[in-house]
Amino acid sequence: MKRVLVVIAVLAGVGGLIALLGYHPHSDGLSQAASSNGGGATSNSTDTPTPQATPVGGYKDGTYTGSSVDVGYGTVQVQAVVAGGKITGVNFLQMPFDASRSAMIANEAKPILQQEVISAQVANVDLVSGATSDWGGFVKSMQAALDQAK
Amino acid sequence: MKSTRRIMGMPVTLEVPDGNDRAAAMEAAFDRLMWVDKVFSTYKPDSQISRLNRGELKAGQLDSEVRGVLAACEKMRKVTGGYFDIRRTGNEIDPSGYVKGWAIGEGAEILRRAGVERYFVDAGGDMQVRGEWRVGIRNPFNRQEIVKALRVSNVGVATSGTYERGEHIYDPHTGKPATGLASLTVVGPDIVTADVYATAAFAMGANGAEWVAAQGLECYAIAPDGTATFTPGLRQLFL
Repeated sequence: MKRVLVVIAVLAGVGGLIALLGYHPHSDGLSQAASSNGGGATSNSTDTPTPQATPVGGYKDGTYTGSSVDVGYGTVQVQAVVAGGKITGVNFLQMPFDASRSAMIANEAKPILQQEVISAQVANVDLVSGATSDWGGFVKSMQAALDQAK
Repeated sequence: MKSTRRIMGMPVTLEVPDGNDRAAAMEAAFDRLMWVDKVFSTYKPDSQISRLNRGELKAGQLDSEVRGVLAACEKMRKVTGGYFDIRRTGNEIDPSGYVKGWAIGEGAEILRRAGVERYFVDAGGDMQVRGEWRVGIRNPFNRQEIVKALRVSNVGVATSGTYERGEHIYDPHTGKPATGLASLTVVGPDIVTADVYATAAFAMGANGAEWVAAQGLECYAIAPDGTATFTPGLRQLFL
């Protein structure tokens, strides 16, 4: 459960990055994709588009690799798979794995609880928390203490 | 100095450092707690709550402090998804579950305003502390024992359970007594919050600890089989 949540949380975080990254199809004919590119650097791109004649959903079929982007806690690089003119898959080529960050994200998603079997403690304490004590119980325990002092 | 009085039908214990000023502040805090009992008790026929429940008082005729408490109860009902609910059968209400924590907070506030630097106000096992104190969590299966010792400062600590008075906390959604837990202790910034959340989470049963954690509070929940579930933050407080 915990592992699944971590993965989901990380994906959710990266989901927003896909839009940020865009992907970088080199074909000049794809104005829609080019505008989302915003003229950003594509130095890291290693596009390997397979030839495709008819873009249906606006994107040319193929596999497009985005730039490596430093997201503050590591480097993220994604790859988009376009088929039938639509994005049909996203591959994560580089994903940071930072245990503390992941734990933090997991904590935000769902608190991690710990478990133990209870056992009597001998520590001295100043006061005790328990389900509401009534006055009778208090008097009884005081009486027991006084009896011991006799 | 430390003193115990019977208020709200339970032992209320205050401890403050020695000194005449502090003794006076302690008396003032006890007075405030007794005033709360007089006005809010469902056991006293002439309390405002009893008179309201008998229809002798209308909501508009209640003291402003009583109206404030009832408004806070309604807010807590919403915050807890209905698990904290003072409404009873008919048109009756029983705000005792809120008033106890509120009374502790009122007593503590009097000590704080009087400049008492270190104290605790304990009403029947729920408490507000100022300064550092060692607080035990009672074993719900053996009241002579504690199962955990915590080092806490400036917090409220409340435990819900059914074992001592034989009373039940009901799940308002089913109308049946909550049986999923033996006890549940909440450590929160103040006793009112800790108390209400402990009550609501206890009514939730097995999911209570997770819910408390999601609210950003610390808790220690003991299941009927003697297994405890607790928040990682609580571990920092273990003695």
